[in-house]
Amino acid sequence: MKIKNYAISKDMKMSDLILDNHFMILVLERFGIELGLKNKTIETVCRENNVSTEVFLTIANFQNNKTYIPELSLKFSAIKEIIQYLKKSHQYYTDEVFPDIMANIHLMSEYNQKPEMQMVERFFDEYKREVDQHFDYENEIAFPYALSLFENRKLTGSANDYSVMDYKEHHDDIEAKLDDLKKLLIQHLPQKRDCVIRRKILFALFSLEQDLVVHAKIENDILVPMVEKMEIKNKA
Amino acid sequence: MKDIFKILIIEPSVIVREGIFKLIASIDYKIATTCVNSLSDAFELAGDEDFGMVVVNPVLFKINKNSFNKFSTHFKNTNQLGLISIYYDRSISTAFSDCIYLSDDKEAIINTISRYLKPQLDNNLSSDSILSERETEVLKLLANGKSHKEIADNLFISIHTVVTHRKNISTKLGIKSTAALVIYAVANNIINLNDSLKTSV
Repeated sequence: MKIKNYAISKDMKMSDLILDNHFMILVLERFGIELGLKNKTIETVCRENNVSTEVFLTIANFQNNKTYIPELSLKFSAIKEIIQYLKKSHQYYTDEVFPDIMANIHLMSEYNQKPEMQMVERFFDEYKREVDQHFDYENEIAFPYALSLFENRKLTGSANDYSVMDYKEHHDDIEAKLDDLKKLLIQHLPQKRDCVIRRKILFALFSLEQDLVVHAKIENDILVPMVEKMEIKNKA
Repeated sequence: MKDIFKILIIEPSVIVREGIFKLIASIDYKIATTCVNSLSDAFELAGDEDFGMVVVNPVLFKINKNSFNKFSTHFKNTNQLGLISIYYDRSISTAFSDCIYLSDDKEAIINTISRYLKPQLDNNLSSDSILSERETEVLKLLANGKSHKEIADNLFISIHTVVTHRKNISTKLGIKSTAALVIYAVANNIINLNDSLKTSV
């Protein structure tokens, strides 16, 4: 795995960012930034698209370098953009990635007609359902809770059920299941006429995994500390 | 499975430390390098991690054989390489498996280090990671939807032992969730879908 050790700064060319790490295409998309970037700097592109440069740089650096430690100088108002970004990611997984992988796994079980292949299909379906539930929890409980703190208003009902602990546990579980699926396909299930389709599935699983790691890091290392800071501030 | 080779560098000079760190990073091998500047820091680490190689600058022994012996005991199962900068006592440097000299060029340093690189395998694991007979029995019951308690009763072992078997199975196969273990069991004919009434995935 390539590890990027430089920090992305606002004066760099936005297009260079993508040429160096194509995952950035997703980052831009989630911020609503369209391609056709010419030679514009990150700062210019962000300004033209009404995106906070600080928030963009924080997330882009995360995407580029998993060991990046964010400066927690982000203003509380950044929380809206971060939540919007995370919601867009959820949408991408739910609407695009999961259905694609699901369709390919179904195809794989047709090429390789063994009972365990049908079980793999059920396994992924179950995984998908769990992740969707987690996303629902975030969209309906965690994010509204964070926003309510920012706007300093009281919440009623289910949004009060937020707990940082649940959060962390969900993330670990999601990662473990995905890893199991990769191991099954790589180590334990013999191939039979499903080489091409299995390769496609594995490529998709690896990108999904890489993206989910960053996704979880944004939540654990940016969002959660922000929420905790706001909780303290609001109590004071 | 651990296939990363761990190297510990004990060197007081930051210039030399960073230099050797960079050189090692350029070797095409999965290496995790840790740098410390004193023996006391190194001894602390020696307890927690098993290094495949330790590179130490003998100036830290301050011409003291006891100090060297203490070092040698802490790292007794590790390849010990000396990093000779200025002063060295021949009798100490022959105690090392090998030595790196400040006057060495890049190739020589990399060659010296590469001689000792090998995968560090977990001792409790056979390299082919085949399940033992007992583990297969546990997996079979687990895949048939039995709880840890039921498995324990069935095999006349304690729940604690069941949990240990379960952990070892997961480590050997690289699979954590029960659902994925069931798929493994079916694929390897450990359970038969027709025999087991209804296996829940």
